[in-house]
Amino acid sequence: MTVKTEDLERLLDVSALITSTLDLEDVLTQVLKNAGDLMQAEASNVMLLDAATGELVYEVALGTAKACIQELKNLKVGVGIAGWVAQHRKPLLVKDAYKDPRFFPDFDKKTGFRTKSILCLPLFARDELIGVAEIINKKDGTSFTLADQALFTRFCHIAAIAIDNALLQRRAIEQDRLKRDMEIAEQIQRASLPSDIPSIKNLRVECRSLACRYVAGDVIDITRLPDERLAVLVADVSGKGVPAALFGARFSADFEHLARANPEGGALMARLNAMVSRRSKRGIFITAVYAVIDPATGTVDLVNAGHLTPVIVGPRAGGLRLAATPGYPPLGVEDAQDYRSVRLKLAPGERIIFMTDGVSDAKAPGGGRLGDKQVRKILSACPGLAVPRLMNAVSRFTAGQVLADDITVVGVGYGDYEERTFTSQTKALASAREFVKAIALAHGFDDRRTGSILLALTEAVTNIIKHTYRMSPIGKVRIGVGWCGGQLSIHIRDWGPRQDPGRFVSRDLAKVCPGGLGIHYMRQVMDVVEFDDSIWDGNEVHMLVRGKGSKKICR
Amino acid sequence: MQVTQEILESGPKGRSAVISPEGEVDMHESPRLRAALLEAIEARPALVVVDFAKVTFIDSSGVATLVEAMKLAKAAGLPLVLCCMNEKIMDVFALARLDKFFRLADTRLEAMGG
Repeated sequence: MTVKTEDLERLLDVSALITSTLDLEDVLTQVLKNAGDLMQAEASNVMLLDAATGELVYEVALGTAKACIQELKNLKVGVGIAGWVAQHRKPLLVKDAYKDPRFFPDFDKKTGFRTKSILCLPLFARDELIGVAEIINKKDGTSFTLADQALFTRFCHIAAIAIDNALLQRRAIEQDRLKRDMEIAEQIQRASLPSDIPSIKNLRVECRSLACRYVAGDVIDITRLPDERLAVLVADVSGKGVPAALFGARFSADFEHLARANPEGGALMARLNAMVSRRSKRGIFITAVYAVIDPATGTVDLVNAGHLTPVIVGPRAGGLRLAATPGYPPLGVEDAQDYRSVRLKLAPGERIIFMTDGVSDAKAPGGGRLGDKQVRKILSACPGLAVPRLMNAVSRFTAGQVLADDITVVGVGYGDYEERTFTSQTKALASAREFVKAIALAHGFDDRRTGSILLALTEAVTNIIKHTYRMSPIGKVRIGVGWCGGQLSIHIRDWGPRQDPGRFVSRDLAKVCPGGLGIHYMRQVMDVVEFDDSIWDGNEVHMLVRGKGSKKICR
Repeated sequence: MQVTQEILESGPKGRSAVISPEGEVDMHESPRLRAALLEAIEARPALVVVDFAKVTFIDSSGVATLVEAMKLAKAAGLPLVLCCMNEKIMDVFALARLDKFFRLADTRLEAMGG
């Protein structure tokens, strides 16, 4: 069927009008207005296909239909004239609607409008059905013809492209908004993670967390109890993403509330289990491990609800054992489950590591899995640096790929350890040296060696003040000093913007110029210097140095 | 940290400036040492001596201050000598291989050219 030149000119005009905006409502309004004018129709409407429900959705209508569009329900594909067109993906010309069994007179009954002739066409974009367009009743009282169908078909080709572009734009805006929401959600969740972990003499606590999809279903709680013991909870909500994160957030609130009343393991887990069972929807459950650690004795009261068995590493390199406990089911599985904690004891220099299975499940770009064996090997190689080295290994193994699962690692080292927090002010340098000096001298370092250690310490803290905090005096620097197996360890933590460890290189000594010597001094003086960027809200540098007579140091 | 500045009018090399820092020289304290050194160099004595006898600690910012002073002194044609370093202080210069860059003396007398 040919189209008259005059109509083609009008089609070109229409094309310019309906492609002049990317706002979906504007595009649809333009489409309907121009369809009515071009085709001399009394009414027109466009329904878009909702891919999720498979229904046609009334978006916009003009003419008599406009007033009633709000009352109309969505139309199932296959129902009515429009439904038939969507189902068969073919145009349909109905000269007398009331004689066609496919016609659905609900609209006429509600509006008093009398439908006579209908011309309905499918709208395609990129070979996919995106909806249907319909014109009703010719203004001159006659029926639509095959010539009308040919013109309307060409009109619908143009309209479909304009509608598809607007839909893509709407989706892009929605995705952008969703992404922003998820980023905010991530920030909120990060803010609820343990950051300023309480300092407890004899315990070194480290906590790392990585979410696989913005927000994580892993839950961490680290609390200093009134009697100075440390309570640690690591839990993993089944599933991932937003549902797991929301359930985890509620669980975390429940935990805080219940642990405040009674922090003892078995009873606490039983109460949490009852709560999770009650709240659980769609079979969601939580694996959890909870420990109460006594810094005076190294005892650990541990209860494990279906969670990965914690690993105990140290005191020497290669030392590793499992913190095995009775195998209780995860929380939310058995309504009236009884849980009991067991008591373990850490030797000085040992470190208990709580993890979620995301660590072992970390995937390499080639598809390989990090695996338990490799995780344990990394953890035991240098017990004092087990947590940062494990995170570094995960980062190298996954090579920047999206994580397969959320990752949480909490390490609690027991032994000779103390930490102090200082302000990010240069005047605090002298106090920081005083703190470390006393410990170094007490462990047999002579005055000269102690001077070298203090040099490395000063350089590290100065770098944080100068480069991380950019001389802002309101930051914090926490210095932790431990002694184990003839080895002194110094851990310096900040809460400043994350730094790229690749930046920290010694300068060329052949050039004699002011500045840039700090890193060189640290590396010269200490046996091990490692910059740690695995903390979500700051940085840490770890330094190890052998004591007198100590030959071995883990590298 | 305190910094004492003495002008000895009749040193063996003529009019000499002796800078004596006392205590710990780190990023907090090194600006004071820098100010004293620049002032001494600007006065154009025959010799500038930095006496480390009472310095208990020095870090890279202190070393950088001395490198800067040494360069300025050289440019002005002035000898600058560091003296009386204990082994801890000497270690810091040696680790940066700067013990050869500076003129070092064991005693103040030696530094003054006596």
